[in-house]
Amino acid sequence: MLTVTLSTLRTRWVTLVGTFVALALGVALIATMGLGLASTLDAPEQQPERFAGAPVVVRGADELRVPSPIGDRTQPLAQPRGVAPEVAKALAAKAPTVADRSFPVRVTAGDGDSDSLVGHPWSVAAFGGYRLTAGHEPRKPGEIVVAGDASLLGRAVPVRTPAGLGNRTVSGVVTPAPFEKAVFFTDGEAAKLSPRIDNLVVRAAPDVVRTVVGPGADVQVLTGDDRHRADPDPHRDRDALIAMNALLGTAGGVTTFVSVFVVASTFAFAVAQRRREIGLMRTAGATPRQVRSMMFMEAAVVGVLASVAGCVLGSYGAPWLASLLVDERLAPPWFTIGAHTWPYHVAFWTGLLVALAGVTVATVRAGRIRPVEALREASVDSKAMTLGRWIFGAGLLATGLGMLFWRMLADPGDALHRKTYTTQPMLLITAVALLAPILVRPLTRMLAWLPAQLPGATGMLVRENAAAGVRRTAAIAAPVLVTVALAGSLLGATATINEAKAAEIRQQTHADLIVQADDAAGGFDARTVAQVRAVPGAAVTASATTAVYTLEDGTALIRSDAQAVDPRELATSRELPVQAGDLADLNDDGIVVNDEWARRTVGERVDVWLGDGTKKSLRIAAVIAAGTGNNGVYVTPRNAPGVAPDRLEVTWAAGADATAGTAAVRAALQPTGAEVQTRAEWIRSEYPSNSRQTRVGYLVVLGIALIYTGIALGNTMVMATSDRVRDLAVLRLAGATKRQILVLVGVEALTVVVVGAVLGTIVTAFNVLGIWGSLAALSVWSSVVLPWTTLAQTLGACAVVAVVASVLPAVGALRTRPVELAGARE
Amino acid sequence: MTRDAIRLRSVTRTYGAGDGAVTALNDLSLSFSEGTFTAVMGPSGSGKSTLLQCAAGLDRPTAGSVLLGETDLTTLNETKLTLLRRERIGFVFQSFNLLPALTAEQNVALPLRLAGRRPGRSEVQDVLARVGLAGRAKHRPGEMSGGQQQRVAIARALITQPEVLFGDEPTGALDSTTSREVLTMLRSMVDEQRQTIVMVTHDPVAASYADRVVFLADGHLNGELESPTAEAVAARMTQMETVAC
Repeated sequence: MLTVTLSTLRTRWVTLVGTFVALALGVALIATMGLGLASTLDAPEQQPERFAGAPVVVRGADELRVPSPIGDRTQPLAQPRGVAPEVAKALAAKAPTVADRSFPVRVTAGDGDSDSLVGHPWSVAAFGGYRLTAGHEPRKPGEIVVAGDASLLGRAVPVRTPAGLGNRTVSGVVTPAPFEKAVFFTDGEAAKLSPRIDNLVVRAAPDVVRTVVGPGADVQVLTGDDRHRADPDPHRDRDALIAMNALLGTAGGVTTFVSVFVVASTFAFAVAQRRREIGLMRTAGATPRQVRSMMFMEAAVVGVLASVAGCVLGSYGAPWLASLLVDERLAPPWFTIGAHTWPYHVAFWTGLLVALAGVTVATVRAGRIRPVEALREASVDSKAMTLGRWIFGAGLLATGLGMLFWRMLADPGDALHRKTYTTQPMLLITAVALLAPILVRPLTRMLAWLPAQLPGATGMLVRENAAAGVRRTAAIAAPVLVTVALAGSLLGATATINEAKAAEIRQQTHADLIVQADDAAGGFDARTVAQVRAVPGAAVTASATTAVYTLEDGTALIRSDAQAVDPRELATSRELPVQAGDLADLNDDGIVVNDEWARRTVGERVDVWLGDGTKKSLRIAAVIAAGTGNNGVYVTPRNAPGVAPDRLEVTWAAGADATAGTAAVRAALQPTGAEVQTRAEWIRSEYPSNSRQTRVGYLVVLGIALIYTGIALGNTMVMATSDRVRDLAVLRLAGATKRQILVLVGVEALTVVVVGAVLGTIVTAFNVLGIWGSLAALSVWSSVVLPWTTLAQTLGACAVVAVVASVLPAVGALRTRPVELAGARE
Repeated sequence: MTRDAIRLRSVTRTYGAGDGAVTALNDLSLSFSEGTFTAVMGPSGSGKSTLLQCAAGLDRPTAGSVLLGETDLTTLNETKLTLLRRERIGFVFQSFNLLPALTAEQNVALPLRLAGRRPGRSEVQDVLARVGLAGRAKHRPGEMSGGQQQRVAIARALITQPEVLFGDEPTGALDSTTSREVLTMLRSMVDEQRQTIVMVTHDPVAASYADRVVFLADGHLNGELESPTAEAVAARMTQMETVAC
């Protein structure tokens, strides 16, 4: 019977295509993410910008260098130092020099808008390629040159400098530069406004300069490409890639896991599906070894072809990903995929090895199929759990749960790191997927109990088919499990952590008004702070951002974010989780550390380097809980020299006129352009999930992985349904109408999706509860947040995919007359 | 003579089209009386399976009509035909075509459930008892012997109390002892319950259990035997095959 041959061939064809699609897409994903990741590793070398025309630039130290037994450890300084005046004098004696200074300036243009700019002396303008397009250079202290807007020429505009607000005349206009928004003063005026020399351009040979400066001095001599380190944002491109690198690293990890998982289970399922065929071959005299090697060869051929196809797909996918990331503003506009070969190797060999491994494991079992089994009508899985599944499933489950609890007890802070909460679900997902066959039977029986009580056949058939075809059910449920568990765990973890952070901020913030300076503005000047302090009834906390460095274990130079604040002011506006000591004991000889520090005994002295690199020994006054990681270190303003306060917190005294006071604070801060926020507004703006980048980033990571699992689900569903053509024919011979069959197939698909969803939700619950437990261990009590909407959408999408992917092939199968299929003895 | 349970009028069934067309049944007219056991025989390719499938509404004749009682099967659409089959026709195959996931009891109850009716417990038990499987209701097909599986298939065909039970080589996959048991059971159904049975077979011994044997060759009727013996059938078959060659 030719039709029979064709129909069995068609079944095999679907299986082959199914495994090919799963593998090719999986490899394509790994290659795409790998290429993206590889391209984030090499940022283009930034060219000098502001000093492109300068021969040699001498610059103050901007990194902290601490000798240790394993070499010098370095960290960028929070407050880079200037060039010492004596060094500048010595160089000026040898060669012509130009001193460069940078200071925050606000210029109010004609339309009333004020802009945060950076002020420089006029003499350095030429090195950055600035050209006068109108007017002349500043000749008097009251004259300035602005970039771009020629309409301002000759007009007096209000300019706010560190010296205060005053009108200055625009004497000239230069072409704007892409790297900064500058305004130029006379050299003398600039020196008055900002006495510190940030960079010194020397017109001499580098050797001469180095001789004058001497070795080991506190300055760097920059020539050639190194001059870019004196630019406004020297690590701009590299920093843009660091976030991308983390994002694509996570995405790569997640997609590799998903790909490996899906490919292994698809290949194993394909072998399980061919049980009957293998049995027939055994009947025809094939030895188990022959069966195994035939399956292995087949997998090798499919594996190589699909992996090559995947790599080709990946080479198209990676540029698409790059442009998606650029469009979503997750990557800098210049980001492109470089010519890397290792991602192809990783993708190709991973794909091939996983395919072969999946088949090998399955064929060991297949080889054991006894010939008689083929002659049996049965395709009921009598023993769906193998020893391997038990060992690996139980092992992974124990490891996953063990790590969850161990982390809660030993290192709760670790649970909040992205690397941890993205890998944790993978262990549990794999464990549950391996153990799925034991869970599937009771689950489906439970789920289908009610419908099975109905008089119709559908309920009973769904229940019996799903429970009897345990391995098929487990294989189809697997992609749903991954999808639901990944979406739930990752989004649930971030949402729960965000909620905890928000709760922490809410709990700690007591001030009524909070003002945070723009990064570019460089803090509030003393006059503004004094004005705010003078508002009646206002208790003001002025804090400055700095950092302190410690050398832990003698080798690790650790940077801790720190705030410089007067301890007397601290208590009025913030409630910090003090674990030991007293915040009031903080003085110029003291420091408040958090409990992540290696040394955290009150009264003990610690050696630290301050934000400008000064080494100091400070006495620990108090220890606070690190919480979710937001609680940094506190020092007094004396230990953050040269840093202006960048946050003001205002608390009204009892009985003070808050309305009038708020108006007064707003008036005082109006010229600085900083936004005055109420407590509620501040908490809202600090809520971490507001970060668009994080959200879009997660959509990229998850979205791509989820689309793949969706395809895998459809794929497995098509494979599984085509396997059931004969069952369906038998049903039709028993009197089922086409409609009944299609309803049955659809309901079966839904049941399996629900089984997968239940398993996925169990994994999600464990992961999110683990995060919650860790937060509790960090003494942050907040609610568990589960992304119900996303879970529901994911589940809905899975259900649609599963139903469509099972009903369509069933419609196709129904076209053939049932006798031809059922009469066939496969 | 009693009423005809099923009647074929000038039935022609052609597969394919053009030069490659094969005529399986050629203007065949035949009827089967109620309460009789008929065996259909003939060499391979004589069209006996096609005859059975057309008569049972599993296949549609290219021309002619098939009457089940007063109903012309050829005028029904696919869904109506399925419903009719479910209610009035039983069919047993050489391969048992049981659903592996269901127990014997569930397999037997399937046609009723598909009709949206919950079978009474005793109803299923009775049918299983009639085929001698009272004790194996909870077993899955994989746990039963071939003969037992075929008896489950027969029980399933009988649960709707069909007007005609068709068998396409129902004993083809069974050993001779088991075959004999199944055939004796079929025979007693005809004798005791006046069940109409039409069975395709190539085994003269199986055919000898029937009241009548009709012989088919090249899609034509090629004689018949009343109250056949195995020897007479075998002789007739040998003769037909010689002629064919």
